[in-house]
Amino acid sequence: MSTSAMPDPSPDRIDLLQGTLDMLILRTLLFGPAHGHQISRHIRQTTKDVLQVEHGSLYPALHRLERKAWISARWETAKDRNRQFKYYRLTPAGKKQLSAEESNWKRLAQAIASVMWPAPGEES
Amino acid sequence: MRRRKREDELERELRDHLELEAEERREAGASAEDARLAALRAFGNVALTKESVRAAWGWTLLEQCAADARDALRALSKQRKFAAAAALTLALGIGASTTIFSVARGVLLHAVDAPRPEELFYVFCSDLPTHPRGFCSPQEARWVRRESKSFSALALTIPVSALVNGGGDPFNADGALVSGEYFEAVGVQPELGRFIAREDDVAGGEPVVVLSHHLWTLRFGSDPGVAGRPIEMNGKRFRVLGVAGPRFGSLSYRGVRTDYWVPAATSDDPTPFVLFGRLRHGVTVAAANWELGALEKRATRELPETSGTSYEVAPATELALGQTPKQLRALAFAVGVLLLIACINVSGLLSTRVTGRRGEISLRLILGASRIRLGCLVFFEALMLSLMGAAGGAAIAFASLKATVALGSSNLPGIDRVRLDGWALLFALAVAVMAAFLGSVVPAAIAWRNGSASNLNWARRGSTHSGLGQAGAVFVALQFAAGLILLTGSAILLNNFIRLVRMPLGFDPDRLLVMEVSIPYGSPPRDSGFRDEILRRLRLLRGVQGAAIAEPGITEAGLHIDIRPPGRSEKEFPRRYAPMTGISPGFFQTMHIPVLEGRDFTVSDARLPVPPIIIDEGAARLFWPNRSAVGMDLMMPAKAGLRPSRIVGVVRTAPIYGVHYGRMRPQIYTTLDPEPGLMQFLVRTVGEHAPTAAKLRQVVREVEPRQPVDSVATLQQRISDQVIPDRFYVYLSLSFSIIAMVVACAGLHGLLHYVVASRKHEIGIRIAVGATAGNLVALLSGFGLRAALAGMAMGLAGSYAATRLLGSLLYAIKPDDAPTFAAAALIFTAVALLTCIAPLRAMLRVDPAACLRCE
Repeated sequence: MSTSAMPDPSPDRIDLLQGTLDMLILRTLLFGPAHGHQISRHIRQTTKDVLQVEHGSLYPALHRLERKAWISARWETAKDRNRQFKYYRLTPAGKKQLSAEESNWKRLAQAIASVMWPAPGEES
Repeated sequence: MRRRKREDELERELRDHLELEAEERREAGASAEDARLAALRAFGNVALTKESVRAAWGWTLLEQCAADARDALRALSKQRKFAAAAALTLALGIGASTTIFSVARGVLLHAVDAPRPEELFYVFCSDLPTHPRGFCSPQEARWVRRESKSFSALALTIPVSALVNGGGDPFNADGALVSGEYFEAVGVQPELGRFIAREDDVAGGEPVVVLSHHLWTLRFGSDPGVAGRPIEMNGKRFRVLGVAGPRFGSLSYRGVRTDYWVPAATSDDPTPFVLFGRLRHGVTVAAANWELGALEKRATRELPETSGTSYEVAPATELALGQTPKQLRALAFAVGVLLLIACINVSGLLSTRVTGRRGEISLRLILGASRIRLGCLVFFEALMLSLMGAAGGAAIAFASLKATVALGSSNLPGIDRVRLDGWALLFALAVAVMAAFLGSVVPAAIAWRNGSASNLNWARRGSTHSGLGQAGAVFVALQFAAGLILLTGSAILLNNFIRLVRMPLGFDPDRLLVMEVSIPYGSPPRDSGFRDEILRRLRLLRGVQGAAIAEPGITEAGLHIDIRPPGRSEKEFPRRYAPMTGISPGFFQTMHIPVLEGRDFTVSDARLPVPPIIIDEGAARLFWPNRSAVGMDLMMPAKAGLRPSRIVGVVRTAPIYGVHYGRMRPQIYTTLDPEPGLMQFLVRTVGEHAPTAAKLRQVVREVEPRQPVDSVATLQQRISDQVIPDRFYVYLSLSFSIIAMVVACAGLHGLLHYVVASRKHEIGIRIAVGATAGNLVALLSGFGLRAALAGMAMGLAGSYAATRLLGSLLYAIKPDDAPTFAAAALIFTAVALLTCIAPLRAMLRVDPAACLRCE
């Protein structure tokens, strides 16, 4: 039995930036309804294990988004097995929110990039 | 419930996640147990996650309130003494106001037993502005009934009385002549049989009568077979039509019970009437007044014999209640002030707490509590206190209602029906919520102002910050002002009462029996011989020192007449109504009223064509200030207008018609009316063998077996019965004001204690550097005492205005009686000073060494 404190340590793991989790969840749900486990697996797999969603923040985030009516939840039977899971799906408001956050994020990323890697000639 | 479901779903959601995770790991090759543990590890702290999710759910308003309430309770349970003081204060205020609410509601609601009693009105005709509520002549009453369109039913009615035979001994009963519309206007159903209808009210119709519930139970043993049975009234046979409900009798405009009703048209005598009716639905009083005003003008043209009459519309409920609403208003004002003091007190106590918790409040603000939330917290503390107060108040109201009902039962109509019902409890609850709101405004404001980050360091140190100091001083001042207003008001009432009771009567009320005998108007006429015979036999009884007759009698409001010396103009002697009492010779001797000048009546005086009169010294001084009144004339009413009557004597002033009239009016004594009506036999007894009430009754029975005796009582008893209402209001207002004073002083006490506790440091240092006790007292007085004195100055000014409310309840004192004001202020000051002793001692006991060590 492993006594390691950090489960599944991933050497390249990066902590999520504050506020980005909501965006990632909304983006994940753009593909269609998913339950909590699927969302976290999707984020992990698409970032090749770089982004590890803390479950301690995933579920509060899901409930918060639901409260803000950006996503809605319903208990539905899974396609591949004979039981119900709580599926989240994007609402129209959530879609709008996603595009807003996306453009914010783009501007932020560009701004950070322009500080970190200034275009040649701009450096004095 | 919803929360429970959400919890279940969360539980299931997280379990699903863990299972899926474990499944994934099993598929990757781990053993079942390892996979489960790894999944758990990967997930992290499940309980913490749940907690975060719950936070994400947010709080519903209700949950927030519950949490605030829990917080408030927890905070208060740490300060039991504080909580108990505040809750008790509120309990007193809420208890008192709930009591008055119940009494007012019960009395006003039950006073008149009819649907929508506010639509019922009397219409009076008066030909003199100084003589309101006069009667209308039969022609005029019928004319108004026919012409007025404002009423859905308008009836003629007039109070009468009759000697009733049937159901035991003969007795006198008060009743009313009513026209056929009367019961239709009232709109209630009879308890038995039927009421008088329009077809019963025809001239020459069969004499019928409706009995009151009271009469029916008292005289007919609640016999259900009474309807249809004949009874004899004033020697005439009447058939009983029906019986009215238990509360019907209180509709009389004179505030007396009516025990029977007879159709007006079947009465043989032409009597005047007043009108009684129900306003048409939607017609306002103003509209009715306007219509009657127009009718007045027409009446002058169309009814020449009754020109110049003005019609007066008066609400029936108001007339049935008399002075009661006024008295209730004064009491409501008193409890309002008391409640206000309690609110201020709670406000002060909460402010102290808020100031003491400045550190905690700052911390809450820093940690993100909104100001609204902070206000909620203060409000909920106040609400918890006031709810406890409401519970206590309900208990107090329950107890005090019993006492109130017992005290006031004889003079408040409907008070026997007053209960602590659901409405009263709802009222108590509403008052509690309002009190909590009022009480938390200032503390919340203080919390907002003080609760900034810069104040965090105050938490640990006692401070001289005056945040509470000023608010506290204002609170104390307001409480003292309000408390003093109440105390002054009730001191005035008390003083009025004492003077009333102690008023030199001018006659000797001891060992005097009063027997009332009356011969109802309309009953077979009796000559005065039987009256003289009773008096003669009474004088012969053993143990009787003297006996006399008075009509209508003493402690009864006599007939008020308009008096003036002959030949004097109205300009010189404005209209003045003097009570007139008919007396037999020997009256002054029996009553121990000294004859100052002239002589008493003799037996022959009554037989003169123009009998002489005797006046009291008040009247003598009024009309003839510089000379003797004996031998002068006064204009007295006679069958045809006024005629001069010779004054044969002047006697010492004595308020024989009741203490409430005091010495305000000149008094006229006349000889007895040759036709006996209402009369009192006054019997002065002496020695051990004084006759009993039964003995007096027996004398009457021997002379005239069919003559009922209305009552026999000692004069002392009659006098003390008269002041029952006064005593009732004195008790109530005095207890309110004592409570108010205690509460106000508790407020001062709390503030001073707070000042001492929060300035312990400063006091310690002052003592260390040599401050004397005098210096310290001066320091403390700067806080509480000055405020208290300022409050009392305001209170005196306020009392001056507020006691005016009492004006109509006072008989023996002016509302701004200076000595009473001074006494109230002195008592209040003394109690306030006593209150200061404990905080002062606490201050003087401050140990400078201990204080400095704490630094």
